[in-house]
Amino acid sequence: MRSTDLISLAPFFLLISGGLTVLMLGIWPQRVSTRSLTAVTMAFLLLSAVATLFWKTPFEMSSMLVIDDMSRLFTLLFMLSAAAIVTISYRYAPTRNEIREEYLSLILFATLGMTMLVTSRNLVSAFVGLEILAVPLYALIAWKREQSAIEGGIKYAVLAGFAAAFFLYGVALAYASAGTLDLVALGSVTTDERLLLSVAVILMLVGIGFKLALVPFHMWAPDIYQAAPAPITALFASIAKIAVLMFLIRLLCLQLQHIWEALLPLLWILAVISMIAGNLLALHQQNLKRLLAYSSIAHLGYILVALAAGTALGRDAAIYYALTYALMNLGVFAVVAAFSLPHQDRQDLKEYRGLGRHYPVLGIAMGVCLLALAGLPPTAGFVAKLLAFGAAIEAGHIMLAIIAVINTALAFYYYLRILVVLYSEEKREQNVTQPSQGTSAIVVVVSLLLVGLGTFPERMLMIIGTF
Amino acid sequence: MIPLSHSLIIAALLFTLGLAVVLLRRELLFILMGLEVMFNGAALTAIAAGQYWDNADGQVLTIFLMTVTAAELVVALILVWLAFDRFKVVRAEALTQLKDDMEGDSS
Repeated sequence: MRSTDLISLAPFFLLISGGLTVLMLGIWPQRVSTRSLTAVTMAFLLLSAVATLFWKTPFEMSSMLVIDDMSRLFTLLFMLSAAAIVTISYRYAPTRNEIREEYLSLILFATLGMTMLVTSRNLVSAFVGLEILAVPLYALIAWKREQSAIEGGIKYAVLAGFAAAFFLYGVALAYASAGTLDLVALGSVTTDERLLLSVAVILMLVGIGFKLALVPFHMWAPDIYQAAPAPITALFASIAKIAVLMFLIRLLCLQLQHIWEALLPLLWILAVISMIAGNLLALHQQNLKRLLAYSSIAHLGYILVALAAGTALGRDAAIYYALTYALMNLGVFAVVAAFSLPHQDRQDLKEYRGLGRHYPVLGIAMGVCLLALAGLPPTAGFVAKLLAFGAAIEAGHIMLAIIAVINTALAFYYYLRILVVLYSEEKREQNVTQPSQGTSAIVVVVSLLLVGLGTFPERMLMIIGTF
Repeated sequence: MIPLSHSLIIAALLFTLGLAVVLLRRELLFILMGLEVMFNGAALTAIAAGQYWDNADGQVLTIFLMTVTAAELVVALILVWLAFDRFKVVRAEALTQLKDDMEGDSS
């Protein structure tokens, strides 16, 4: 093993040893405090984030992993967001005293899965990454001992298993069609094998569609968003989805471009039905977490609008949108976690009445994130939508862009409804927990990033353009 | 030697059978069994293709598949057991706590 290999694998080793170390602290003779467990977890996450900075790009790791600028950018995002989620969980009231070794090590392993997924250039490593990401999530969703939490865990376990089966069948058929599992080699297959390969990619797309909660594979999303504790919702609503999406972009846009072109009509249809169904279901939803779940279905639809353009411009727009999407959702769910009641999250929209006035910092941050989700300038959400719809128009999909814009207008209604409730006259203050400083700091940083990315998008677009 | 298409058809049938079990049976344990049959359909495809292309990738994929799906089903089984142990739930339609809230009843 050469030194470049070791440097490239350092973040993986750090995450694995971090997960095991945190787990082993459970058998330490004295009881280790939650504070030190959290500190150890944060240290490993930040160390592996630093380790990615030493990556020499581009570098290929024995045809299993590829280390390039795209994987570095997103690995950094995953590590830092995971650190943010650990911070949010630390003072999250409903799971107080339950954030112990297992919880923290599962978050570290889930982060490992995301990193593996986004760096994989072989279908086997992609599958292993996908599962390392998914299996910890079952346990994390069912963390609280309530019927609804366990129900959510079972639903996610069954549907994720279903998705994994489709993905695997796709992988096996791709192998049958070309005799290789390497993405680069699959990209250069000859014409007569492409039919079977297209079928294989469609099956993989079904599996990925389940993970991304695209309509018609979206049934699990609102239930799981509602059942999971808010920090875990933040984890899989933002970075876990983005990891899967980045794998899809690497698969379709970078390696299998001929299949991408063949699948454009399918992406077109998926984009339209995801946008319309997501927004319509969100419109009259009274439960905030379910509302955000439906809105995220619509957002994945907007990202597919960019991918359906089938051009390099569309790919860049999708990557930029993915980045923005992760930040927006992280911010929103961090605020939901900060507003939680002592034993559960606030679910009903009414329970948020007047909280924005009472907690100005969290309220303003929530406002920024919601405006970003709605796509108003000067936030990054506006630039992301502009780029995505612009790419669709550039590629001649005028109809798709019009449907997307109408949907954005529709979405304004329910985002503004949340803001109105948040800033309406408060009636009474019922047993609130004091929001922690760590969560407030994260929320402020996320909002500043959203405004910063929205005001000066050129730099980020330059970086994305070089992928 | 058995041609590739025969094995692929058998594997496709196995996968469809598992899919039908998942979609039609309502007991949680049967749904997990159906998932296992779907995984086996994928594994058979990989093995047959590995034989056809005469390289080891198909077998490597199958070994990974068996290990990873076993780990996955362990966690799923624990969750199903928890649901039975605490709430006496064995059927999928009993899982109805999580649902849409359009009216917003003041709870």
